[in-house]
Amino acid sequence: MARIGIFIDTLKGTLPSSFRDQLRSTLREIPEVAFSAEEEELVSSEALERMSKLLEREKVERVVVVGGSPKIYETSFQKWGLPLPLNSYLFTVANIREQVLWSSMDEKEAFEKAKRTILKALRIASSLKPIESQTLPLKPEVLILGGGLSGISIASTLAKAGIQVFLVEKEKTLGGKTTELWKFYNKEVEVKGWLEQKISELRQNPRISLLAPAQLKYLRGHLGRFQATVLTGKGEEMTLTPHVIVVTTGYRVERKRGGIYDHKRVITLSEMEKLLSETHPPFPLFEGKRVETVTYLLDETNEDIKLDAINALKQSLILQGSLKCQVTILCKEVKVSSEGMERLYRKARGLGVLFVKYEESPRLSLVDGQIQVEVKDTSILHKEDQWTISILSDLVVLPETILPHQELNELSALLKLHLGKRGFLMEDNPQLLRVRSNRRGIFVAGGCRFPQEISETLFEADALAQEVLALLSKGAYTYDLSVAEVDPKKCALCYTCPRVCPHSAITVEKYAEKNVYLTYGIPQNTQWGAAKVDPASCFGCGICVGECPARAITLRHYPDELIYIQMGVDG
Amino acid sequence: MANFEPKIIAFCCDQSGYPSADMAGALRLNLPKNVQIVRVPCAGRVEALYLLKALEKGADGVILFACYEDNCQYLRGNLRAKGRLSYVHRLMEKIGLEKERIEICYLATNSGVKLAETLERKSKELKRLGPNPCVDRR
Amino acid sequence: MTLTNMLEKEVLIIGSGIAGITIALELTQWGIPPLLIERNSSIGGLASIFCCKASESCNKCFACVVDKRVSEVYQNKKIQLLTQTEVSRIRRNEKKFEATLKKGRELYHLRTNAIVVAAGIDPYDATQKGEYGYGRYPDVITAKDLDEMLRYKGKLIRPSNGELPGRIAFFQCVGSRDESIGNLYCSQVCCAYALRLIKAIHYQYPLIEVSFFYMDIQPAGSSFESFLNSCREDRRIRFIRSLPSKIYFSPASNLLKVRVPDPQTGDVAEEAFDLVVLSVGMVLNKGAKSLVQWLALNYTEDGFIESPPLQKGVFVAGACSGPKDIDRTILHSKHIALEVYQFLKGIN
Repeated sequence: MARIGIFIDTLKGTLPSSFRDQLRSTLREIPEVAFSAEEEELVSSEALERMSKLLEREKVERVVVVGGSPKIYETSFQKWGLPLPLNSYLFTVANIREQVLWSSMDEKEAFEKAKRTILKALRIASSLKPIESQTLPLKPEVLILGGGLSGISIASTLAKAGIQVFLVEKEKTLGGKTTELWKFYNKEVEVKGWLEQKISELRQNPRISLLAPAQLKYLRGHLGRFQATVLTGKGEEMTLTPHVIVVTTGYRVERKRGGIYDHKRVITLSEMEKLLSETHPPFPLFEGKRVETVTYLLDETNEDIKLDAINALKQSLILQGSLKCQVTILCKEVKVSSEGMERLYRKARGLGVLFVKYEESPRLSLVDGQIQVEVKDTSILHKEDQWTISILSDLVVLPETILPHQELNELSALLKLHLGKRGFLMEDNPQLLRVRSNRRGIFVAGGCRFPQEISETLFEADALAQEVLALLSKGAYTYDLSVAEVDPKKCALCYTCPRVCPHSAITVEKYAEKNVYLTYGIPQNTQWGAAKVDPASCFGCGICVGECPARAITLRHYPDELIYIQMGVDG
Repeated sequence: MANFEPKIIAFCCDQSGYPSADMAGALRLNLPKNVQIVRVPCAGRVEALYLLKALEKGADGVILFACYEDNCQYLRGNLRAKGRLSYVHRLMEKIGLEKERIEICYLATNSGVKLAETLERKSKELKRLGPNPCVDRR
Repeated sequence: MTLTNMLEKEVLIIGSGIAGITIALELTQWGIPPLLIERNSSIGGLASIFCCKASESCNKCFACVVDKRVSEVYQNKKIQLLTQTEVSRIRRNEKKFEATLKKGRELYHLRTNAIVVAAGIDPYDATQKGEYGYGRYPDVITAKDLDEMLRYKGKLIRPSNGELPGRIAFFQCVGSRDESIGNLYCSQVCCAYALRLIKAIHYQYPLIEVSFFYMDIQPAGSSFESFLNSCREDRRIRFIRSLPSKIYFSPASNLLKVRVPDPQTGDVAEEAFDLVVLSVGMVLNKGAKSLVQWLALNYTEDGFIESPPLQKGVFVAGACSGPKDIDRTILHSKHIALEVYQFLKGIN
């Protein structure tokens, strides 16, 4: 057994002195324990300095900290580069405060349990092996897929901070869905000029290489070593080697079709936006005739997306306020949760816009060249008294259904990214903090994840840019090798682990020199294929370890031995 | 058997189970006497083998604490753990060992109360079920 | 004896709620060591008392994310954390800011290049709505009180007698969208917040009947449609699109009475509830007012802090700039962290 040094953190006196006396006498009798030192606050810089000096002098091989939760100590020792002579993975913590002393009723029992915990920690300490850290150089080169508002915003932000950006856009022009907007709902500026300025800034930036139209054909590699093959509109294949990838491919829309919905007087929100941008006061014209009644039919689709409500309200203020129309908005809920929307809603009502909240879908029919919209008004709560209102409309505005791009399935397979329940990118997992993906080095934002209105989209783009800049700013990604490792000799190439790894960190490569499944007659020096974990992309979760049928994978910071000792089955 | 204190092995993942155990301590909630907390990085690290080994080596019950669906830090670890548990349950059924001895319980980082209550409930259940029949007590 | 310390830091972050700590953590990624100050003795702000609102699966309340970030801050040595510390003075001195911080009897004189105001919000004071009886009737509580009860006690009880309630009413929009008090904004989070609390309660106590009094249900997050549908299909939750004007208390039965219009019959009947939960909206944190004055900031129309122009070196993050849930606060804070970085590096 290795020589072990023990540091007892009395946590500013919360460890009872009677216990400390018992502990000292117990520890004195264990031969492996080289010394035991006490500190009042082990994580303070003074205490850590003393610890450092003591460790150098005593030349112990392992350290056990007796105190509170390991979470208090671990980063003190591991991440902040403290000058401790021992590898930081040769420390273990006996959590006797939170998990023993504080959660036991009987003091005597608590002390017994604490002693057992500490003895177990000594066995754990003996089993620990050092884990080194590694550095992966990162160059400031980023590939952005998708040139809509998110992609443009991120490209400009990154380029201004010194990053070389490749922006790949499927269409010839940039701007995505934002090009269909005429006005903002909360600013007086017109969208077209604002967007054009952003695009021209982008085109003039020497650090941004724009490839449009172009599409991603293949992606290989991991963080810091991606290899992307892009097919341009001219049929050329280009290979790029970005270090980080950003996905901002946006979404598509689908118009409701069939029967009355195909009628020319049933238009979409974007068609109304275009109509308004071309309209001169005093009133709008549709096929040369004056438009007086406009009815919006919201919430039949896109129920949890705020975009439709925002655009409808914005348009209705113009129609009712300056174009002498009577607007009625039919919706299930009035969505006012974006900034300033409640005030606009009240303003709209003040101008005479009618809001009708419905539960059953309204019925549309054609009456003398106009669209009749029949809806049951639920503002009267008594169901029997609820009136069916009939609105004869010159135009009915129907939002398009917001859906993921049809190519997203293929793209997610190329990038090895997860899809969410509705077909958009990434599951709705709070731990992803919106912009992360399941893979290290690939980030996702904007409509391809979940469509939002412009200010929110810009915040999300900034949040993503912030993550990318933080990653690239040090010029390298330094990480501990506390990751999974495949023993290539034992790998049977069953391909379970590449499929199971949620972070797509495992690939199969020819790098093994020997294999237990070797058959005779194969010449020497044959390179065998085996699964390989990319250590920079591995998150250290251990899922692969549990799935490998040959038990060929080890998790270096949580090997079987460590778990068995914790379970108490190592004896 | 009087004074039977069931031995429970609780696999606590770094993201939910372990901080919840710390929180239970911080709230001074009492945990049953014979609980052994095993720290793992993710519930997905817990192999089917470990669950069975726990019983083989004398534990009366095992609880696998995992994160809720759609809340795993590593995205799929909790689902893997659930799948392995179903497999273990099928094996236990075949050999006639009570399935209730091993269970999975979902929590989040701040579920101190839920952890303490689950361990308490498990302890009572195991007291009713009796000690692990696999152990040779002669 | 007053101890005086001199400090020179690149960034001062005022407020250690989820916004402040997100910015602090992100700045350390760039090697910028911030000074994070907090008035109270523990960090994490309002969201740190939130309980996990999962039912069978995660309901995306983000409370656990706050807990994780809080422990990351305690472990991150690059963040200098001063708790029980308040700002007593700030002024601008050419390109820097000079601030005096007070921690008990200690004083800190700080020179810094950038200041982030992440002072957070207060829940709307429900006692102002006297007709609801908050503060007078023990069984009228706010959603925040309920959250705290679930996190620290793990049990749902009626404050008046410690028993499990059988019928609960949720009143939405208390203090928001209300012309009578001048709060002409939607607090954005309360609909999803209340529904998630209901789901969490039902998971533990399946028999409780809930009446949900609301105006319009606001969406939150990308899983909201399926979440809301499951609430609507749940027969234990009765959705009533009207906000009661008053809560009556019956001492004889120890029950709260509310006049409820019945959609089926059209009659207005008096119904009894064991517990009424008020979903209070957000208002700017009281303590932020002096900061607004000293830093010459402006208020938005809705009474929150307006983001100043970029060159000033003052940044406003989180809900104190306008109502946000935890998810959007983290997003907004990362955006502000980027702005702080760009400001300090002279980019843009």
